Amino acid sequence: MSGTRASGKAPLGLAAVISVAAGVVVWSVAASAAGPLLLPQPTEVLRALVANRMSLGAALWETSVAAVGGLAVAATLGVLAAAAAWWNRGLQQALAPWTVLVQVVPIVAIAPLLVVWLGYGRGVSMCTASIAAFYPVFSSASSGLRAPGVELVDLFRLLGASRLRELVQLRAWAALPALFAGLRTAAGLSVIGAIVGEFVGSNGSPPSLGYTVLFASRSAHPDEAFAAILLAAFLALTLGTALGWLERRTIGRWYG
Amino acid sequence: MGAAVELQAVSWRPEGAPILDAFSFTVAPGSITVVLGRSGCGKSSLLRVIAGLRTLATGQVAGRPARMGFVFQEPALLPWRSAIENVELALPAGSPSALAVAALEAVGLAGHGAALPGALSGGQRMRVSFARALVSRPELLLLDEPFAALDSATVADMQRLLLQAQKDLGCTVLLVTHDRSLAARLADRIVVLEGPPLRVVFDVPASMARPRSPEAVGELLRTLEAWT
Repeated sequence: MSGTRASGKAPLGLAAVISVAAGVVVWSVAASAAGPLLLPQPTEVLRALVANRMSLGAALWETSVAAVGGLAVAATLGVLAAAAAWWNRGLQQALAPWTVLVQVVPIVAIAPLLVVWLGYGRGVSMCTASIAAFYPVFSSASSGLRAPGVELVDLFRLLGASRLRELVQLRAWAALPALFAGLRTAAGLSVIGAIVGEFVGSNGSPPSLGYTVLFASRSAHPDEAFAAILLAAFLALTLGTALGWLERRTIGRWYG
Repeated sequence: MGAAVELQAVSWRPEGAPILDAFSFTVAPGSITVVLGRSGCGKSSLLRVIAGLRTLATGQVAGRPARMGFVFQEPALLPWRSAIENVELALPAGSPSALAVAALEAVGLAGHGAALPGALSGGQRMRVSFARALVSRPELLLLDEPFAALDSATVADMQRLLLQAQKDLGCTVLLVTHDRSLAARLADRIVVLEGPPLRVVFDVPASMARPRSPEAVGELLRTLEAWT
């Protein structure tokens, strides 16, 4: 049985490598057809990555701070709003229109207004990152807080537990698996939100990935733009991996 | 000493449909009462009504004690807390952990206190649930099909535990099940709840003391067969 499983794993890993290799080959063929100004070769992107490592490194740092900061704000506000909505039906109704508004508001449309209010700089990208990341956190925390079955809820009522005790000892813990799933989604969105914010809210000082993508594209350096996009993907992947590690460290011994 | 509980014309109607309708009966202190019925007849609701977990449409439950233990159909353990921490949940804050240790020992789980529920078997998880229900020395112990998901050897063990705990604590026991043989082996009083209007309350003769002989259990089963 285990032999079957082990032999089933190897082709999956191989399939991933083949898939990525095929993607690079297709990219390379398409780049040859399109020309370097439209689509650079993968090797040119790597060369741009190495050649501009100092400025791209600084841009990666700037976007990382905005995305992580925005994610932290979204996580804090999302969890607090979910707890408030669970605590009180009136609060739930009062929060509903605002949580929906945050979900549907186009970040691209609100980012210029944020520049007017906050000026150029990290404040704008951190705001757009937190707006993009808020709803998945709020939504997952809300459903997680309602995850305990009727028997566990009955148990706490039978024990005469206060609502605060029920929240702290039962619902907050039960919500963690759903919350981590929401945070992983929010992590990717926070990077997208930060970059969209940097498109309009960054003037290149300090450099950011969003500004680099925009500036390099406009100044006929698509290889550098692609290098910045690769770094943005790397950042989202790293955040997701870090959250996966944190999830295993905190709830891994009893969940999954 | 066990509690004497009396249901007085109790009605409970979730979303309008009557599950319990003007239902009355008494549970003698220190006795074992078994409520028999098919799925959906309202026997689990009855237990929750007695525990005060559901709001009644009409009627009242008299004699509900302060200290109650409840064993659910599922173990209902918190997976992030160890076995001993799950048992401690039922104790007031600051209680000595020796009480929880003793409760786990009493159900045959000495040395398993640090284990998380996920590392325990289904039978062991049910024992932890038992220990949690018993650790506060309840005057009334309510059990909702507690043996339904267990193998026969574990069921026999759990029944011994239940009888021992009832003897040691002198608590009143109210158990709901669909298993007639369980009722025939354990009950002082059997309530057959097949939904309104059919209800039968049967007091097992004092001559049939526990542990009952196979003949006595067979005789009780034949009586139950005639009713259901």
